[in-house]
Amino acid sequence: MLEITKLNYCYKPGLFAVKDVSLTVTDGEFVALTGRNGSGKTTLTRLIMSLLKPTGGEIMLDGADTAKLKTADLARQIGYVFQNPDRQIFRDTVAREIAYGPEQLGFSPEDTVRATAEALAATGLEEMAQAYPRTLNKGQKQRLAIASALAMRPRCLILDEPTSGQDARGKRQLMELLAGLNVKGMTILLITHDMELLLSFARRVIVLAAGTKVFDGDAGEMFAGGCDINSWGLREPAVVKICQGLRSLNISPPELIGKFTGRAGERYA
Amino acid sequence: MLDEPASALDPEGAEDIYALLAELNRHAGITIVVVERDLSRILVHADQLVVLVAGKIIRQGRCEDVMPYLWNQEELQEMVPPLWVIKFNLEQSMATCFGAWRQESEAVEELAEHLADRSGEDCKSA
Repeated sequence: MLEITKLNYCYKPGLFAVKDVSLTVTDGEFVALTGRNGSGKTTLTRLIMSLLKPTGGEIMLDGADTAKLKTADLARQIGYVFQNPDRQIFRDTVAREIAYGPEQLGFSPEDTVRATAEALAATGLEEMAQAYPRTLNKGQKQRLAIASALAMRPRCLILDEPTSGQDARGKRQLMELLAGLNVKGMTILLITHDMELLLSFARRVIVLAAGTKVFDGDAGEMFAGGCDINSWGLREPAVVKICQGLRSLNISPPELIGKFTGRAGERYA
Repeated sequence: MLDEPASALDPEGAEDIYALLAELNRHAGITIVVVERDLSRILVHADQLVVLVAGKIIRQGRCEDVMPYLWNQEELQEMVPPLWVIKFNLEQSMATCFGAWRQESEAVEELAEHLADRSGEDCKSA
């Protein structure tokens, strides 16, 4: 369990990138973190990973203050996938890249091999094990970054906009991968601007605006009309706009809409 | 000419960029060519859509002419934006034809009309 209490962070004195944020993430949750560019999403996740030190407040992981945990101990529990996977890829084969984390954490050679094989299988990269990472396409690189995180056998994955710059198929495959990991118990914290994905996959949505938490709840509830999501830089998915438009004319949307718009529709319409 | 100008932007930022491009196009007469993966962003703006697959132009034309083609190709279907996924599916199940929806408000308008027409015939169709 991750408990964040009255967290503050300033890049410059008095200029809050994260302000008074409190939230709890329970094991096994699938949480989407959204908000406009510059609202503090990435800063918040970097604070969770201890890549930044809080200006105020605290972050507890299973009752332990993360500020006092060693980076390696934290990495063992929470995997972090950067927005740009190129930033974390540097070895000459996919398999060796994935093995880096377990090696650094002091896994035995046999266990490193096992963890690498498991991560390759989980991300569908088995056939690319000996490939040179730089030759992978964007979606495959993103999978490699996830595999590298998984190889350290974390309980929680934090991903910073993993779907940006990917086509629809890449997005869907990635989200199915995450949903599959989540079903097996992995806690997922996903930063995304994609409202369709958010409605389809996240059971819980947290919205940041100017560093402050302005919404924390069910995705359907967020789009139900009571929230001024436009002022948070967000927009409703197509299915939501159509249903809202029809309801405002006192027409109940055809039930079909939900059936035909994939998971987003099933959950909303 | 812009290469994915809105990728990694929040929905508002993406909308703003495309509003700016539309403004330049309409008021300054500047021709805009944009590489975009998310077709829902260009639906309301683009005069022409060019689809590349493996380095080849496989389709070119107005959005409303290209979209049915994409919808009918299994490997391209996922390119169809959500608004048009709704449109194609509703057309099929309601056995009707809707116009070229460029934004949700047009869908709402047309659906409202259609549903009002049909409310009297529910018994018959059942």
